[in-house]
Amino acid sequence: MNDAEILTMVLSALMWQKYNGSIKLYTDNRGYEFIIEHGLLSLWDKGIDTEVLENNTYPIDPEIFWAAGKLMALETQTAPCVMLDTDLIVVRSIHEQLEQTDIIALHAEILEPDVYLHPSLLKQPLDFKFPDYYNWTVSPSNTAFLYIRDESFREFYLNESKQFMFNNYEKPKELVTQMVFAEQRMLSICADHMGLPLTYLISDPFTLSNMDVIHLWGFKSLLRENKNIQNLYVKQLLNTLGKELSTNAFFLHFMESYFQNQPNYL
Amino acid sequence: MQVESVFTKNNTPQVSIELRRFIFILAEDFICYSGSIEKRKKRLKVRCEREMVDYNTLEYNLTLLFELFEDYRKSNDQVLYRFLKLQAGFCYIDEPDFLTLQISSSKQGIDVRSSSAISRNKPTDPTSSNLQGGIVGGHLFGLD
Repeated sequence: MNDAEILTMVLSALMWQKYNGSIKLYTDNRGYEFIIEHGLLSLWDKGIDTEVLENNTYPIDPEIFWAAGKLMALETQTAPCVMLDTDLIVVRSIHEQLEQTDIIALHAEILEPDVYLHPSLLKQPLDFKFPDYYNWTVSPSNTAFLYIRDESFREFYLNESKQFMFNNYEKPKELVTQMVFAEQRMLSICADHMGLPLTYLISDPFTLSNMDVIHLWGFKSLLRENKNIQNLYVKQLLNTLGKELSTNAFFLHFMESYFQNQPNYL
Repeated sequence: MQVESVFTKNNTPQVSIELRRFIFILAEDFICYSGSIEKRKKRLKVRCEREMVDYNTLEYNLTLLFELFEDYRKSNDQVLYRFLKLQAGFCYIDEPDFLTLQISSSKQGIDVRSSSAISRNKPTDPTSSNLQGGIVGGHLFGLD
């Protein structure tokens, strides 16, 4: 993680706590060491859990299903709950939106055939068959943000996803399609099957009507390869969201210890 | 308890039209005519001192602007263009003036709308290499 990604993670947790409530981080031992090294142990008010990921024995290939850890974390939570990626900042209160619906994801995804493969092209475990009730025409959902109100839906979604991921070891040619099916398309399919309305925080990833969310998303690649963009992004994020956290003791301490010797950001 | 913070202060200095014009011409010479600005830095410093503008910060911002411009020229990346415009603002070049520099805004990056899943955080794979834009909510922190 570079400075820009770390700052985004810090702001994600702090802004969530400011406007929307408590937050816990699920990570593994390696992630935990990183958190300690960067003095971020007290960033998440509900603490940090490493046991869920470290003790997990599910027969899942982490290379193919690289975001399965999110689903394992979701499995330990009880609905209603929110799953929030560390590269996503919710900049205002969304309580009202959460009260009005059963499931909210970040935004709908286009059913791009190269990304969301035809079921016959997906690698499947032995003796596995997609249920007949799967509706393959529904739009997948970006789950960088996911709110689930209903406990039975959470369980159904996770069970369906696990059935597909478990013992599914055949390597695809790339490392996107299997994961986005198990996580993002599956969510929409399950909501459709249970007849639950699935709504979105934003209508389109790039809409100017979005007043709620900053998401690094694919921008991380550019951040990683261009130091100038990284500096400018950090500076601008601090200029805007820094004001919101100007009385937050953790943030001020973080700024002092982390960015003190990097005046280019200020 | 209120804690005093640098983030609550307005640090934007007032800059005269004459200085803005001087800076704009410097940028124009560099961007449009590949001219060197080294010889004019001394004059820029004098003007900054006269107006109590921090020369070192401005010089840093101009250097960053020019480096970003070089990056943009190589890649034509739409997100870079948005950052370039943002950085111009830190150099007191406002949007109308920036547009007169005629740095074309390419359409690259729009593809991320139609294959958004590819640009998620994930292990490196060849299909995502050309989809590095994709920032959501950039307008919330100043990107146009």
